Amino acid sequence: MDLTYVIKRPLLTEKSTVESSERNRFCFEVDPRASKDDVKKAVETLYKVSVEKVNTLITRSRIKRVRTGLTGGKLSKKAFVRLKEGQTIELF
Amino acid sequence: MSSSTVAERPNKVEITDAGPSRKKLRIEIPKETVAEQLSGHLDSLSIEAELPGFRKGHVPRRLLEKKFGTLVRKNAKEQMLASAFSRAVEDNKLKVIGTPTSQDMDKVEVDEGKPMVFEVEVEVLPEFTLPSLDGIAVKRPRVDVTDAMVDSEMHKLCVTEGRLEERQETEPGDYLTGHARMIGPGGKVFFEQDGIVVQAPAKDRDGKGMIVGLVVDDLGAQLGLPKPGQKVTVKTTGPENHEVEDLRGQPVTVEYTPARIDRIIPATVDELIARFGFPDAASMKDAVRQRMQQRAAVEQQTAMRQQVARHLLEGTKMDLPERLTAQQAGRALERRRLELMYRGMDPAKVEEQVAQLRAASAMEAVRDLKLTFIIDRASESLGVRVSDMEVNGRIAQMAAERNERPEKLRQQLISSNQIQGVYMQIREHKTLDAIIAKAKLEEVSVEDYNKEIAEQSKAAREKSKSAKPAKTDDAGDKPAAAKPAPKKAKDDEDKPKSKKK
Repeated sequence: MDLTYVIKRPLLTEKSTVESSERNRFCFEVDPRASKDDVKKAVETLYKVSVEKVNTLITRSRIKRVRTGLTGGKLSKKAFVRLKEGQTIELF
Repeated sequence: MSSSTVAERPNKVEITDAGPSRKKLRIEIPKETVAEQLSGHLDSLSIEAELPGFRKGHVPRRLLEKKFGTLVRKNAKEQMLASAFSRAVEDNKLKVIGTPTSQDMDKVEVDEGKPMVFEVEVEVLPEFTLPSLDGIAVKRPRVDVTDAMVDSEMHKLCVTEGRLEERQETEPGDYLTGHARMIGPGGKVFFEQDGIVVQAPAKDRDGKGMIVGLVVDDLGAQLGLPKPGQKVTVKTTGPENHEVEDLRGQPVTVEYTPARIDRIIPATVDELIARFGFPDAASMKDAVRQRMQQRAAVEQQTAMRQQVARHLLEGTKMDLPERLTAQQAGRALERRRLELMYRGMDPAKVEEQVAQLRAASAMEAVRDLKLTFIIDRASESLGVRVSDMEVNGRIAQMAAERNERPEKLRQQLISSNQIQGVYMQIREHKTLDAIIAKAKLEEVSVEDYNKEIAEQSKAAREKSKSAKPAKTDDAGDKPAAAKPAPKKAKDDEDKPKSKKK
């Protein structure tokens, strides 16, 4: 997969901030089709860091009944990227 | 941020003269204070900020800085500017008047680790020595209300209480109501309105008249005697002190189309007696005489106040702030309007006088401003205070003179922001009266008094002709003497009404 489209945005939440500061794990929303390897390569290329481990999880948004049928159920993928010790990403 | 820390680290303030009664302040806020302020603002923001993904109060500081940094710096800058300025004024005991000005306030930068430096210019109370307020020589004109004066007043009353009669032909003295359009330089329309009333100059006015607030010397000749629907064009020059800056000293064209012509048919004395509920003409005359005597007393007091004011102005030298002087030109008109209202002048005549004063030079404003400062100092030294009751009483008096309800006039004054003017007027009168109470009074006849005033005016006019124009300090000593037209109005005010026909 083209690395340009792998990472959609960094996820900035209270939890991800704690993860990044305490465990050196950074959270991104990535393309659901991207593999862990793709994410690793993309982060390394984009942020010029060395990735130690990538954990991913796919979530599906809630399906709702609307007047015209059903909506939602879209897939999104989060990737938790742990960097090697001493490395960091300046997200903000 | 603790205030004690800031207090221990004072700002560097350099004060330099920037003109008459004008100071330039260069204030440098230390970098530590700037850092403290920025940090304090961020701290308070971090407690309140709510961002998606974060609980209230848990947003990381760096994220806040990135998202709201500009806003925080702007707020901190405003707060630091205000507090540093007020502290500088307080510490250096500056008596600031008006608002401070700065040309490059937008360029002032607030950065952590750098001191904040800015410059402001302020106008301060001029420094002067108050002349002695005791034993000033004041002439008191003796005012007698004669039968002829009462008859003249009765005639005026008949005209005031007369009825309007619509006419098809205009005659001098008739009132025209119609559409007016004021065109300034470059054909720009500054004013356009229906229902504008213009009086065709009466025979005794030498063709001089007023149209849309402008005094025109040859209005009679330019206006002619138009019929309803006939468009006339009046050309004049905008007075130097007109409220609209673009019209000052510029050619102004007024297009006027009268829609109707009215003539005042004076009421008869019998009609007046019936209308006002007097038993007979004699008792009505008595009431008129009493009212004239009251008015004459006010005129007498005014004449004495003007002498005291002139004495104070002549005995005080000061450099006036320039910007404030320009602002004062506008305010002076309002004060004069109030003064004339208080003296019971007919509303139409008040507007006419104001229009004449509009044409007066800035010297009048300089004189008024100078007098304001002197009165301010004198009222302090004499312990003069003005209560709300006095303000209300004065409004009631003005309302009675104008046949209006006091509440209505009060509302008008509040809405037009003139209530402060009433307060200032009372304070001025009380201060001058307090000085008169300590003055050496000499009773003179009205003729002698008027003669002396005329001589003084003539001398002042000659002096102003020979003198070079507009030096701030001298200007105050020669009120409105540079231009003959406003001086004439001034002369009229100086003369007590009793001798006016």
